[in-house]
Amino acid sequence: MSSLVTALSKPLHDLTVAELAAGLKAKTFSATEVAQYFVTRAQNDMGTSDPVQGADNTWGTGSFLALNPEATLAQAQAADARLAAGTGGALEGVPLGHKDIFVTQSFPTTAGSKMLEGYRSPFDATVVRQLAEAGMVTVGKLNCDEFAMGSANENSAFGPVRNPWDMTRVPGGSSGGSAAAIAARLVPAATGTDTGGSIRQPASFCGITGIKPTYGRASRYGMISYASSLDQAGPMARTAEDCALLLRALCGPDPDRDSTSLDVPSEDFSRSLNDSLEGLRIGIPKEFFGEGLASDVRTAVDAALAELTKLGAKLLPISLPLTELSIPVYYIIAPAEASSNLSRFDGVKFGHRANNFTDLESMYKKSRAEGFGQEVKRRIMTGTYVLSHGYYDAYYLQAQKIRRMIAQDFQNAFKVCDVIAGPVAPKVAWRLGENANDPVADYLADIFTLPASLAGLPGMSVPAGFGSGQGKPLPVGLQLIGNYFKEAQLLNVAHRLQQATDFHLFKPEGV
Amino acid sequence: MTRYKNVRFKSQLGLTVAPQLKPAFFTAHKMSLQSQDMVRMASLAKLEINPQELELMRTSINDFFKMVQAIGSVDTTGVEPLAHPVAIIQDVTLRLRDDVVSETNRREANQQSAPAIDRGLFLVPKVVE
Repeated sequence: MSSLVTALSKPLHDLTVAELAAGLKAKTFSATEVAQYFVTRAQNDMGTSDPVQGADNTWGTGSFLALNPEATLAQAQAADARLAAGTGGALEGVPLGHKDIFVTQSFPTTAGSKMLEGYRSPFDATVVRQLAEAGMVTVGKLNCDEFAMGSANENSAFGPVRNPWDMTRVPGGSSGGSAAAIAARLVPAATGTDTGGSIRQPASFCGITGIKPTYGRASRYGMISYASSLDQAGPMARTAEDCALLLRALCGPDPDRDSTSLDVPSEDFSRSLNDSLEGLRIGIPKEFFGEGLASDVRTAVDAALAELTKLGAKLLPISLPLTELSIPVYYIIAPAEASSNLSRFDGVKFGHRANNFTDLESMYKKSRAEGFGQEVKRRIMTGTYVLSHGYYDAYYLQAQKIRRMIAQDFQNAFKVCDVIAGPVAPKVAWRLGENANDPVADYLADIFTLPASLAGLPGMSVPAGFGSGQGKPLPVGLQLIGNYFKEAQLLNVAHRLQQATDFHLFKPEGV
Repeated sequence: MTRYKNVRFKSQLGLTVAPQLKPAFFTAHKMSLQSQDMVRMASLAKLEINPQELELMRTSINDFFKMVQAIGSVDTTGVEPLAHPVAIIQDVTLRLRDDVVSETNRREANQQSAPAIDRGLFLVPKVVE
């Protein structure tokens, strides 16, 4: 009942997924009212998304790329009918936004690329369908780095996303629109995808909670491919409790649609949220706490770890010796797979086609050159090179071998600890444009999220405090990494931390 | 167990993103792509990139490859490449579905985003004289 009491006393945008679900079931408010409320909030944000300061002295976040109020309200009315009939799903009527990397029938899908401007999918991604079957209502599509390639959401063809905690700073990426929209209370939850940290790092930068499940647990069908052996969908919300609810709907085998999908059923990820942490062994990788870690991030992470020890957990030092090498290994494997995946964009069946060309070959080359942005082209070129004759063994194959060693290092670590904890990123959100001419600088900042991605392990980011942002508080996330299929354990640790701390309840100024 | 031919990359990365503080091994290697390599890659990748843009890209890709050289210092003798990460703990078979018709004819929906169609066919420039 506590969820319901809260649902009556707070504005809708401050309610969590759990509170909204309880309020909808108790008919405290209708799904249609909730949908209209969030659509209006999103419209207001979109209306001021121009980088020029709005008349009301505010900036929009640039989170949303597309809304379709008619489709949203139709979904909400159907949810109300099911709620009235008592046949509603677990999350009936609760609104969410989808990262624009998931294809949707009712909304345009761009993957943040000019290549897909105006594209309409003939089907819904499996993840989108499953969340709809759980009763969720789609508010709109959320901005992201082009084809999920980026760590700051500055690579979107439709403009950057701004961090609600400081509008001059990046929200992280590539799921930057998802993270910023949740932090700005434009949606209570969103989908994200994580290839090298794209759920965890923006969650950290925006002070929200996000989890990437074990590779293969969530279907990749309808999730526009970047690096297929790494891409994984996951939920983003404000609390671990909400992420557990969403993850249950999002996971599950997709045997006919995704050949890499594992034959592992979804589960009740909420079942152990309140378990005691007494005796929990948390491994602290020394490579995550080197001299490159900013002191404000370190202070916040240390405080969160101290909090976990008060709850009964024990910290023990471990080593993940190949942590630094995960950067070159990832930035070989991911572009290699991207160069192959993105070959489908040829201007024939869908996507951008150049206006002027002489023959088929020139149509391909001009269409692709015009449709793809700078970073995407750079990764296609890099990937083409490392896969080309004479270089495959030295780069791609060698990277895949080191990938096994990285994964094995984690297995060795999990012999002595239950979960691994550390920072998500070496520093707080940086300023828009700060790394504009230095892509390698962005790559380096991915160091702490890449190892778990390469190993395919579940990982999450939980608000752990705030760093120094020249007058404005900038969120810091604690990263938790679990062994394969141990999502429930990660959520348990995160939930207990959120019961002992209130960082996830803080709001950016003006929200 | 010694897995490194050398350990010079260890703890040298510094994690800083300030370019002037990039560690020594980033700039210690000589391997670099030449302009003709870039032209060849652009052709293989079907990207028409003008020479100035290609030259700028060459600089940033070479910056990246300086970092990549570190992977050559890891001894991977006897290590199998890892493709599906969960294969580290269990056998993973990439399944194939039964070879039966599972889709209904949705030609119109499937062609709704095509740049050029005529009578249900995708149009491309003439390829056969």
